Amino acid sequence: MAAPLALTGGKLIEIAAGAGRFALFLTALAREFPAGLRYHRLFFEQCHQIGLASMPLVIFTSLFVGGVAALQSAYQFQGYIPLIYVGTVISKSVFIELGPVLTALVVGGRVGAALAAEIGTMRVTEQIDALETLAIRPIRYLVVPRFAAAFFMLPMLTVFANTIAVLGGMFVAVNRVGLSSVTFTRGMKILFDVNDIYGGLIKSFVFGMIIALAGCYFGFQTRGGAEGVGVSTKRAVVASCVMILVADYFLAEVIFRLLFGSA
Amino acid sequence: MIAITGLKKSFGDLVVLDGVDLEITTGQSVVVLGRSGGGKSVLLKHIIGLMRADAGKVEVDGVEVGALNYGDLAKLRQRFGMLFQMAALFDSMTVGENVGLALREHGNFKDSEVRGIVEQKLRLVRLPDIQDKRPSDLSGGMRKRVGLARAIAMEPDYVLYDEPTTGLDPVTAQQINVLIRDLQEQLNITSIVVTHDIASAEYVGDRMCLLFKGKIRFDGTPEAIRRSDDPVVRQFIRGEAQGPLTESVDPLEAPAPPPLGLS
Repeated sequence: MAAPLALTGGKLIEIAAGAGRFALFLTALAREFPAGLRYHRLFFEQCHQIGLASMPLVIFTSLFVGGVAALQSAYQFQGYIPLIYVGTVISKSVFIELGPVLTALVVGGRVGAALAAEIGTMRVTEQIDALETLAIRPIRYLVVPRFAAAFFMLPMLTVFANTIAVLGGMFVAVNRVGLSSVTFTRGMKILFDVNDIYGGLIKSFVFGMIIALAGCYFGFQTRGGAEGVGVSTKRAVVASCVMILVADYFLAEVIFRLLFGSA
Repeated sequence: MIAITGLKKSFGDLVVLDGVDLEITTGQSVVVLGRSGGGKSVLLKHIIGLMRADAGKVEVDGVEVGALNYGDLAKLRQRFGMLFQMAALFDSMTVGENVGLALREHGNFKDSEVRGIVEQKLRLVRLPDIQDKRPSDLSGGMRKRVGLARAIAMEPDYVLYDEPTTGLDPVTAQQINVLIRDLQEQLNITSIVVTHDIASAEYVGDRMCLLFKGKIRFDGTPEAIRRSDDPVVRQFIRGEAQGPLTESVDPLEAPAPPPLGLS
C-alpha cells in the first residue's frame, strides 16, 4: 500500500519540481529578453536556421497538404455538394488550421530537435558553464535570439505554407478533380474572410514561441552525455507537438469565438 | 585572496565536499589533488559561483561569492579565467571568436583591436595564425591551449584549471604545464589547478592540497607531500592500488599524522 503511494507522491513532486523549473526558466527569459535583443548577429543567424533553412521542408509538405485536401474534399462532396466549394474548403481549412498547425508541427520537429540537441550538447560539454565563467548570461545569449527568431519566422513560414498549400490544392483540383482554375478561385472567394488569415497568423506566433521554449528549455535541462542529449531532444519534440495541438484548441476558442466571433 | 571556509556540498546522498577549509593567497599556484570523482571540479565550480554550497562559504578578496546577486557575480567572474577539462570551446565559433568573446562582450574594443589582442593571447599559448580555424580542426592539446588563451583574454587575477593535462600525451601535457607556469610568472596570476596528475602537479604547484573524503587531507609544499607519512597521501603519490584510499574502511577514523603545512 505504501509503495504505490510513495511512487505517486514521488511522481507528483517530480511534476511540481519540473513546473517550478519551467517557471524559473520563463522568468529568467522575460528578465533577459530586452537585453538579449542586442545580439543582432545571433538573431539573424537563427532566423536563417529556423526560417530560411526550413523553407524546402515547409514547401514540400504544404504542397501535398493542399493536394490531399483538394482530393479528399472532392471525394466527400461528390454527388452532394457542388465542387466549386472545394476552393472554399481549401482556403478556409488551410488559412485557419492546416497552414499554421502543420507548419508548426513540421518546423517543431526540425527546429525543436535541433535547439534541444545543440543547447543540450553545450550543456554536457560545459560550454554553458564556460559562458557563465566569461560573465555572459546563457539565457540572454543563447535563448533570447532563438526565441525571437522562432517568434518572427513561424508566421513568415506560415504565409509561404498557406500560399503553397492553396496552389497545391488548385493544382490537384484542376488536374485530378476536373475543376477549372477560375472555378477554384471563385470557390475560394465564397465565405472568404480576411480574419481567417489573421487568426492563423496569430496562432503561428504562439506556435513559434512554443517551439523555441520547448527546444531551449529541454536543452538547458540536459544531464549526462549523449544519452541525455537524446532524451532532451525527444522530450522537446514531443512537448512542442503536444503543446502546439493543445494551444491550437484554446487559441481557436479565443481567436475565432471571442475575438472574431465567427466560429 | 580566496578563502574557503567549511564548504559542504552533497548530491542526494552523495557527500562530495564535507567541510573544506582552504586559503589561497594572491600570486600562489595551488594544486588540488584527489581521486577522480572526489569533488575537485565541484570545488572549482564553487569558487567561480557555478554551484551553490549547502553550507560554508567562498570569499574572494573579502567578497562572499554565494551572497552575490547575478550582476555582481558576473562582475566578479570578469576577474577569473577558467580552463575546462575538455576545453569547452564553442563549436559554432572560430578560434578567434572563442578567444575574443569576452573582449567583445565586456570590453570597449574595435574589431581590429580585438583581433590584435586575440592574436597576442594565441601567441602566448604558442598558437599563432589560427584565428580562423574551427575548434573541430584542432587536436586535443591545441584545444586546451585555445581554452587557456580564452581564459587569460581578459587578463584575469585568478585562473582556475580543471584537469589541464587529462587526455593528453606526456609531451603535450608537459607543454601545457610549461604554459601554466610561464603564464603565472609572466602575468602574475593566482592559479588553482585541479588534477590527479602528480607530474603535472609537481611542475605547476607552489603548494599541494589533497582532497579526500570531502576534506583537505594534506596541505603543504611539493617537497612536503613527497615526505608525507600519511598513508592516504603516500598511496596517492605512489599510485598504489591497495591502501586506505581504496579501502572500504574509512581512513578518517584512523588518526591522521600531524599536517606538515607550508614551511
